Amino acid sequence: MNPCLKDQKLLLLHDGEGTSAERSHLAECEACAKRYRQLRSDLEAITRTLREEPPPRTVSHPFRPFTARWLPTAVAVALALILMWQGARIWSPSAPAPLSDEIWIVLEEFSPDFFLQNQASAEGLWTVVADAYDRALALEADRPCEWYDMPARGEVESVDAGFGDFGVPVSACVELNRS
Amino acid sequence: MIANVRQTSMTDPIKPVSYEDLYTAHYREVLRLCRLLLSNHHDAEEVAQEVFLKVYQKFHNNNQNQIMVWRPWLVRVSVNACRDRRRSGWWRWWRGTKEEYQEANYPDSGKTPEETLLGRETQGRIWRAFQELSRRQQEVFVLRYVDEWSTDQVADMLGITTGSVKRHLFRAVHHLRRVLGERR
Repeated sequence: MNPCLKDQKLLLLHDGEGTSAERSHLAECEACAKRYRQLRSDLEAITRTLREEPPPRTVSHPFRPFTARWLPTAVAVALALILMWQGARIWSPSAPAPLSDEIWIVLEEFSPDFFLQNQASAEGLWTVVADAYDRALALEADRPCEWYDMPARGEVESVDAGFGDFGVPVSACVELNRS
Repeated sequence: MIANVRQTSMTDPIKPVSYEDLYTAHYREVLRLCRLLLSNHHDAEEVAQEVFLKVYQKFHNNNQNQIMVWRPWLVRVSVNACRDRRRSGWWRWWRGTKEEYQEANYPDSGKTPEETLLGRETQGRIWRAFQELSRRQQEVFVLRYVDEWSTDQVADMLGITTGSVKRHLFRAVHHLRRVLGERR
């Protein structure tokens, strides 16, 4: 094991600290004594340099290129503009995209049949509803008004089930009785 | 009168003196400390003026009969003011006014041209190496070796432990010596 003192111990000895054993070693070991003298010499040189007050002319203002000074600002402005543009794109109401020619061709070929079929279905449904309403009126005309709240024959249930909202109004019943 | 201001020991209390005497006795020391910690002569002068504005307020608010230990108080206030200024260092960077060492501006010391050249080169290395230290290492090194405060006093003024002072001191000395030894 090397008994020589480490740099940290030498610095402590320089600052007036350290144990008596370390001091005695420093007095005996020529290598440590040389390192210690070098440490003192370095510290003196450093402190002397730092204590010297440079004349005011040492103040310098090194030139920084224009781009280096304004580069952060330019980057920030560019980012802000990009964000604003993206925000405007996201939040603005989008106009409907124009239909292409292919879509118009398909619609022109398809739409007449499509709308005709729908119209035929609607007319058929209306005919069924109108017939059911006429039958209900005919049935209600055969019974007196006091039976109004009673179910009319057995098939009325199916009528009620299908057309429960098509009840005959009281005024219509009165008119039927008068006639 | 200035003799009354100067302290026989670094922590000996002194009698109350006038503000002008305090300024005359300590301004250069405060300015040097600020210059070392800020690496900028203009900033150092501004901070030193701020420090003595605080001294003025403290001096007039303080009870005149109270014995005041000004020097440690001045060092503490100066170090804190330099820290505050460094926190706003982005502004100095923005302005591009960082001070740098200029070898040719140091005065000659009566040596031969070769010795002078070598001496200036060494001084430049030391200054640059010092500026590479961390802020805490700079504070500890300046207070311990340039201003010659004891380790305990440095710890007390910076609000850190004595062990921490020793660690920062060793790292600072190690870095400075390594840079200094590169030309040996």
